[in-house]
Amino acid sequence: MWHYAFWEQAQSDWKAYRAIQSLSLDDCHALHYLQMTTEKLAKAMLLARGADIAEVRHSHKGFLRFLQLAARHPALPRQFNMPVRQFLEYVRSTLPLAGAIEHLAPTLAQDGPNPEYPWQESSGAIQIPASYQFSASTQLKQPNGRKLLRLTKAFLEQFEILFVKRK
Amino acid sequence: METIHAQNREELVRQLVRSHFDLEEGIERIVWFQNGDKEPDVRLIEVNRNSIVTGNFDAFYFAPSSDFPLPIQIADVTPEEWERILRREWKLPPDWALYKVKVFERENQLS
Repeated sequence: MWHYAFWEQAQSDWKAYRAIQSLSLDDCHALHYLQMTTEKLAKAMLLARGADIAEVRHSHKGFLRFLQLAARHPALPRQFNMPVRQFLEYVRSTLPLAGAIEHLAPTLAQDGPNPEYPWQESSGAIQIPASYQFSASTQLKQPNGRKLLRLTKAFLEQFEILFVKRK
Repeated sequence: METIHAQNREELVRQLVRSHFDLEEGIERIVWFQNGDKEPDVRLIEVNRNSIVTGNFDAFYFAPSSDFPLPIQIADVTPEEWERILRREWKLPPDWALYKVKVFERENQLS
């Protein structure tokens, strides 16, 4: 049951993300756990559909694609107490930030800003995640960021109801 | 789950298709995979020029609900990815067979 394994780890990463909020740590650590949460949640969803673990293991872009689909799915607006169009716009407003967080994965960042490893800019300057000012950190404190966090939390909590086949 | 007869099933899928065309202007066509009828899942690929490119076939499952009583497996692909699928360069899972599909084109659904 790979999907449950990824879901459980995503929940643990989310717990770490929330716990870090109350500590005076550099922003990179919270971003790291949030990126891990969304990546593993997307993998859990893909696996729950029946995807092969070998294909899913190396996939890093599932969460943004999931949100694009979720935005127009008829069952979800009710979960968030919104009319269909409002939910669509609500989810769409989070997509740029969701994409930015997805691209924090070192594999996708490709020697660019990421919360784990130092990288070199084209100017030659070496950047360190611990001291770098990530725009995603600022955006997460703004309305669209709060929306994205609300969606992430809700999809984590309702994973079994919304995304797992009943036997 | 209550059994949904084929005619109702088709009407529900048509309603969903119309709704998705209406909500997402980037969708050019929606392909309904109809093989494997023993499974209740409705399997759809939406060819969407606003979709992101992931390099993977990312289909997600949505459980049935009071707002849509059929389970759905659904994937967004770009028009270029769809061309690759048609050329068999991109292999779909076994239960997504191209020989038995119904294709809904945008211009026929919203006219």
